This record gives sequence, C-alpha cells and structure tokens, in this order.
Amino acid sequence: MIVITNILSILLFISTVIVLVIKTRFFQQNSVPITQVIFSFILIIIGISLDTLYHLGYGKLFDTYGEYIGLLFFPLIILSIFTFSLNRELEKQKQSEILLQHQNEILVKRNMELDSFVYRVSHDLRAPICTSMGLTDLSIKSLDIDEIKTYLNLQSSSLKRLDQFIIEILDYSKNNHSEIISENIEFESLIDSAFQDYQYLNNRHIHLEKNIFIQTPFWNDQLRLKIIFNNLISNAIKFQKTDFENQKIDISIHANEQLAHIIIRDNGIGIRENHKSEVFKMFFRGSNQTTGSGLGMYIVKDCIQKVNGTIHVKSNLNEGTTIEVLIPNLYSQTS
Amino acid sequence: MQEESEIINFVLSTLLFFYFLYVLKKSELNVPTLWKYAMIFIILSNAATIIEGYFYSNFFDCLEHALYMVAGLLFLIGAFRFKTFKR
Repeated sequence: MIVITNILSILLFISTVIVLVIKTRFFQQNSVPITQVIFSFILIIIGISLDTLYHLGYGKLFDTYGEYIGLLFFPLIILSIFTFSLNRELEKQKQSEILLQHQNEILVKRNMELDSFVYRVSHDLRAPICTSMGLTDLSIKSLDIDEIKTYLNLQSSSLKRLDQFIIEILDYSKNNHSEIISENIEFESLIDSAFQDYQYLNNRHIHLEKNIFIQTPFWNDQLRLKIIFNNLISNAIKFQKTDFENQKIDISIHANEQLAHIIIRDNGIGIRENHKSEVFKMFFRGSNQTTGSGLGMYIVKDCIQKVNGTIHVKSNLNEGTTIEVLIPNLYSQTS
Repeated sequence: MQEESEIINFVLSTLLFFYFLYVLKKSELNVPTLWKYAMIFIILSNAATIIEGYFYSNFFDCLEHALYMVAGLLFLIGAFRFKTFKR
C-alpha cells in the first residue's frame, strides 16, 4: 500500500517537473527560479524513491537518507517558490511596462498626426473659402455677364473641392469611431455607385471593366468598403493621362469563404518610384494634376487595417497603377 | 519509533511555512494557491510521521504517504494552472 502511494507520488512529482519544464521552456521565462523549483521537486522524488526502497526491504539506511532529504526539501521548496513568484511578478511588471511603452508610442504618433491634421484641415478648409470670397467680390464688381459666369464656374469647382475635402474628413472620423458591422456586400453596386459619383472628375470617357466572381456570400463592413472603393476608384479616375484617348479601369474581384481578392488596375499616370512608400501617409500628394487633400490613401489604409485586410500597390510611371486588396470574409463569424 | 529528524523536520517546516505566509502577505506576491495547500499537506504529512511513533503506527504511516501523494497532486494541478507570459 505504502509502496503504491509512493510510486504514485513519484509519478505526480515527475509530471509536475515535466509540466513546469514545458510551460516555462516554451515561453523562455523564469529560467533561474524555475530551475530551483524543479531541483526541489527532483530532491523530493529522490527522497520518496529512497523511502520506497526502504519499504521494499532494502535496509534502514535508505530511510535515514530519505529523512535527511525530507529535512532539506521544505526550506528549499519555500525558497524556490518565493523567488519563482518574485520573478513572475517582475515579469508581469516588465510586460506591463512594454505594453505601456507601446501604447505611449501609439499616443505620440497619434498626437503628431493630430497636430498635422489640425494644421492641414484649417489650411485646406480656408483655401476654397478664400477663393470663393475673392470670386464673389470680383462678380459683384463685374458688369459683364460672361465674366460673372466664369467666376461662378470657378466658385463652383472651388466649393466642390471643399465638399470633397469635408467628405474625406467625415470618412476619416467615421472609420476611427464606428464599430465594424458585418453585412452582405454587393460589390457591383459599390463599384457602380463610386464610378457614377466620381466620373465627372474626368472630362473624357473612361472605360470601366468589371470581373466579379463570388463563390459564397461575402460579408464585411459596408461603410469601410464603400470608403475604400470610393477612394480607390476616384484615384483611378483622377490620375488618368489627360491627353490619352483610351482611358480604362479594370476591376476584378474573386471572393470565397475566406477572403475577397480585389484588383483595381488603371492605365493612368502611375506613381513615381520614390513616392510609392509615401502614398499611405497623411496629406501626401504625389501629383499636382488634381487638387486632392492627400487624405484618400491614408484613409483607405486605415480602413483596410480596421477590417484586418491588406493593401499592396504596384505602379510604373506613365504606364498605370495596380492596387491589390485582400479583405477577409466575415460570413462564417457572423452566421 | 520516534526519530529526532522527524520532529526537527515538522517544527522547521511549520515555522518556515508561517514565515513564508507572512512574507507573502507583506510583499503581496502571487503564489499559486494550490501550491500553498500542497505545502500544508506536506506539513500534515510530517505531523503524521511523528504521531506514527506513538499510536496507530500503520495507519499514520499510510496517512503520511497518502498526504505526500495529495501534495504531489496539488503541485501538479497548480503547475498546470499557472499562467505564463508570452514575450
């Protein structure tokens, strides 16, 4: 009976050692204190083994050794558990410090972005208003009806620019503050609506080609996908070559139960090599061809990050740009 | 048969355990609860070893080893349950 309980005890202590080794070695932590704890357990395993030998009739000496080991075991296990706990506490504090540092870095970045944002927003909001005010003054002073019409046309385009800028700020704000709401996505209507809204930006006819293959229902955040498509399609329209007849945009979408693979390809002016890494920065404008705010691609990247997707830009100057987006399908998580 | 080492073991472990609890309380360190219980079982096992020398020697001898086994079980469950921090 005693031998059996001893064997069971030995097995339990050996299992404890194994569990501790696996748990701590896999995560590479507490290496010194855990060695002490493990050493204590090995000591007690030896002690119980000697006691078992004594009970099996191998002589009194084993019992005496077992007693001595028993004497050593308790102070040692207390000391090792204490240092082990102390180390765990330190580790916990270290983790909190790392987390705090990381959050601080994010805050500093956000703060810098906010500073830049406030400056640029006030500047970009003021510019069209000043233009508009100047044009109104000129219109009041002018007596020539054709001249007044020209001023009004200029005023209209200035106000459109202002409206577009406000829409982008609203998109930025919506993306930052609204929760992800998963719903069924109709890619075709998203593309058509974006194309209809922005084709006026270009005076020439642009040929739009769509290839959409949906294997299973695709669910994700409608608001963010609308922002993504609006910005990518408006960019593809805005950055066409002005003197080029055969302007076109190809959009292909392959969606399965895991993700949607979206490719938006245009044959526009393309992006300079040294601008490629900058396109996702706030207020970055790579071309003076249009009067955009430089917020569009930043918002696109932000939206894609929010829905756990990825974006990749390939472009050759004067040949065109290909934007590749991967968006996860949330259908299985929602249903 | 009573042995001196058994009494020393019991007294030492009991004193150390209370001192350990006192230090833990002061330092607010977090030790797996089951490990604390396991140590109590070891102390009880040491007590059973002493009692074994006076009466019901077979019963208390068995109890001593059974208590050690319970302590081993509690150490194992405690080791399973404690959380590790991923780097």
